[in-house]
Amino acid sequence: MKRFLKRIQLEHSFPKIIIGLVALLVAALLSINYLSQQRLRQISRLQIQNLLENEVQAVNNFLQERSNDLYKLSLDRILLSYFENRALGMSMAYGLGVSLANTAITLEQIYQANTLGGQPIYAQLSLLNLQGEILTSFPRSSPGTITLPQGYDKSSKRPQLFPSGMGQIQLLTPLFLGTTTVGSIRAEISLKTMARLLLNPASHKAFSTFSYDKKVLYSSRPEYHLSDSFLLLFSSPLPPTPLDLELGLIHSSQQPRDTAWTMFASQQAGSPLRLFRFEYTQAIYNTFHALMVMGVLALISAGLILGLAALSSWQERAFKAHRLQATVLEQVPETIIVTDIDGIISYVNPAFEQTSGYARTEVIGQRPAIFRSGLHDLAFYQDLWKTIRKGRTWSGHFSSRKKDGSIYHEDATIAPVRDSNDRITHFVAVKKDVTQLLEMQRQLAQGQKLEAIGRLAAGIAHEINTPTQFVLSNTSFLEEAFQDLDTMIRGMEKLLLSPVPGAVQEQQGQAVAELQEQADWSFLGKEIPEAISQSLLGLRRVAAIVSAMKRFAHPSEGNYELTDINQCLQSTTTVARNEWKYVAEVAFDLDPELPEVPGNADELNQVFLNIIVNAAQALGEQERHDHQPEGIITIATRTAEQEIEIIITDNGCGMDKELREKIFEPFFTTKELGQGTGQGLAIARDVVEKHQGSIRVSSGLHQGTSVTVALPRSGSFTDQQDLG
Amino acid sequence: MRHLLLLFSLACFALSTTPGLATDLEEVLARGGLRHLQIPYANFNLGDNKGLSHELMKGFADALGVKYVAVTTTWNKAIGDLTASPLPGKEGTPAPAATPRVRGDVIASGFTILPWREELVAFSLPVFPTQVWLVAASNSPLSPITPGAGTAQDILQVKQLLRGKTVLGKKDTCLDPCLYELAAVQAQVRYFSGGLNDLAPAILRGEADAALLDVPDALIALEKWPGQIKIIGPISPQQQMAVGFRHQSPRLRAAFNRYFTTLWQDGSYQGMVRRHYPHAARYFPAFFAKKSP
Repeated sequence: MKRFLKRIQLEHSFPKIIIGLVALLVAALLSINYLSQQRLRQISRLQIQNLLENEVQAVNNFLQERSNDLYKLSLDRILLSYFENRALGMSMAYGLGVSLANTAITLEQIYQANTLGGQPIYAQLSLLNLQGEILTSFPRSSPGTITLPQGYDKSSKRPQLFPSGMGQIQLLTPLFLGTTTVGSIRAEISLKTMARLLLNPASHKAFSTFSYDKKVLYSSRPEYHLSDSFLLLFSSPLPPTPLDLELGLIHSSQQPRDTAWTMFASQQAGSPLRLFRFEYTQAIYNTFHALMVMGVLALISAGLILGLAALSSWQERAFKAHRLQATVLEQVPETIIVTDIDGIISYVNPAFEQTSGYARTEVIGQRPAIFRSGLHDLAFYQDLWKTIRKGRTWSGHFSSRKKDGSIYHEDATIAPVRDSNDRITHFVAVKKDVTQLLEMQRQLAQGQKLEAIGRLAAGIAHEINTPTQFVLSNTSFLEEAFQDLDTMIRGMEKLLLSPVPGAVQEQQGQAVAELQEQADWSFLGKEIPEAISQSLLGLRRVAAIVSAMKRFAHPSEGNYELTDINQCLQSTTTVARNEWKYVAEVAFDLDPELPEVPGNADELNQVFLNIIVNAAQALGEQERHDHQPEGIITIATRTAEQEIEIIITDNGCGMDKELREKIFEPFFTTKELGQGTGQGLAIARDVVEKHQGSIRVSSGLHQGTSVTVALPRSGSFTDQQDLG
Repeated sequence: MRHLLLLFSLACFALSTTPGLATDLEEVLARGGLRHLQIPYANFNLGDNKGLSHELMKGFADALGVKYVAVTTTWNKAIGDLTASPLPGKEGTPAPAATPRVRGDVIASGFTILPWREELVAFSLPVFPTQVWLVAASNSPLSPITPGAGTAQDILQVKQLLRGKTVLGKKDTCLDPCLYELAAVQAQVRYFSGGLNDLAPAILRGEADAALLDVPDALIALEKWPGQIKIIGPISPQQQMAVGFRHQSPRLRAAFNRYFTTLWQDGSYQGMVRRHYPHAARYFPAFFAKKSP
């Protein structure tokens, strides 16, 4: 009986236990959910505060950029010339009007050039006199006088920021003639434009305001009114935010007065402008929500537990993946820059900070133009933007400027970033610093050049020595001849000034003939002009060699310039004369109409030298082994439609297929140890390819070798090549 | 193309109706080339085939459907190169040098309409306003005048400043001092041997107390040497520049006037002026704001 009663009790209690457990579970889940919501709200608030800090940074950078524009404008001679000409006494009818017209054009140019998102940055640019009278402006306004704000320091050279009526701010910069203030430049900026361009779009539950000295200058939702006491309460200093506001501080006809608001605020140090953001705060739970959640949770509690577990696991995986992506971006050695579609930088990674010297906060909100090195032309940047705006990836080489002003070089890939609707929202640039690599390549090329000069030095010395020897010998002869002529002339002078008394003309003629005989005049008269002529010939030869050497060795500073290839070939051949003159004759077949091509003469001379020396050495080998007659090296140039060709041919031993395939490999050589490093043709190919040209070899065993170098003509050179 | 068709139809009409006058335009069309006599001067002709006059005449040649040929000449020879007539100088006026043959069909180079020139060449509709100003270095003791009731009074004020002063001008051009009777106020006139573009630098070098410059050149000088030169005041009433034709080329001149009117009315000419003289429209609003030239 007892057992039966116990069973009944248990059966009756079971639903209660289940209900109790479910209630406990629901309560626990509600608590967990509430805590999660609260945590999410905290995270969301932090994110909004961070976003606001970034927006303020962007606004500050934007205003700094405008200040710099105005400061530069204040030094512009065109603007100052109005005041100069006025000081000279010129009248508006005769000359002064021109200065104003020029100023108006300058203001118009600045206005047109400064746009963001297709909208002009400035609402108006004006030139004012000392009293604030508008002398000229763009867009033009009717004549009038501006009341210059209190606190405007006319002795300061820096632009100063002031409010300018509702919805606008103004930057004022004094203009100086010498040390005297003569007027001001005024730039009005619409806060609405600034907010639209620089602030993130707010949801319908939020709005932003700019304030200046306890006054609201702009609100993205004018229908929301801040109570008069609001800005007084938070005038100075700013309270720590986010902050839940007291009820009634913000009101509008569209919201009940008991709507709760959270305020976020930020202000850049030294700036009078404050940015506020107000978010409408909803309660996490109300009664209806709680009942709904309880009901649903009661029905699906078990499934929810499993679901939550699965969700938690998925969230954790997603979070880990997200954290990994963020960590990768932060730790990769490559520089990463992310901009929005207007080119405003929104993210840079630490590698960027390390490479460029800029801190992250200095570049967020700026344009990549601040890194411009000045080494690329406008077409280069236009091509880049055109490519990525079309949704394509751009790859190429950049020269950029660090914060300290130094230049560095990067290989860059810039790609568009698309959202889920396939719309481009951002651009990401991944760049690698190749400055050291380029420097190493330059040093290697320089080493090659020095090696070549060293190798040629002995031959050139010999080439110079031979004419020097006979010039020396002729000069010694002329020195002796001069002494004989001096003796002869002195003797004749004596005869002329002190004639022998009573001597007849015949006797005097005989005395002269004797003097000529003593000096060996018949020999000297013939040999002296010949000695002078030979000496001049020798000296001209030395001069030609020195001139060719100078052209060959002249440093080109790595620039690409229009280069006369025929002259390069002639100089290089002269410099290398000692390499080929014992084994070959050189025949030129140069196209007299050959156009100049863009190139680095220094590097191209190196290419031609390597090919000519190789040809000479091949002919030397042939002569040594086969005792063949003297070789011939033919150097020809041709003009084709898109390129020019340089063909250097020898009638040497040639190469078989196996050898031909290896000659461009670095460090491959057929020469004896110490005769060559095996880098000559490998470097030649690198140089030619760097010039966007090609090099090809045609050869067969015992059939000679022909090397053809093709270089693009100027018109076919692309903009992406850095022409320095 | 529109211009071309219009002008070509005009030419055909002219040929079919008045054969007795079949010179000028017909010759240009038959030759297939318009020879533009140009003198490097200010932004009208910068040399190297650039400048407002170059662009205007190149457009005219294109509209006629003929090749544009630039013929460089000098101020002294320009009228002779256009007319090939011996042109004895009249008293008090410059004497343009005669050349044995016609070298060009039009003179366009900032060519000012002057009474003595009107006897020798036929001018088109005015293409640019001008005036001759007296210019001095900024450190000169000459002070700019305060404008009075009218230009005549301003000119008088300027001339009164010139007694005993050396004034640099350019013979056979609109800057020839003999055109403005400067000798009568006892100014010491000097003729400058260099080009018109070098007059302002000569003043800066102190070669004379002052120089004559026309407005387009003065505008450029003020831009090039801000704060270094000053405008004292006017030496002539307002003048106008135009394109010069032979008196025997009425139809070529008429064709140009029609071309120019079309260009003016569709705003293309004002665009050309903006490119070469950006401030001109602001400085001469009355001239450039007209609906028709």
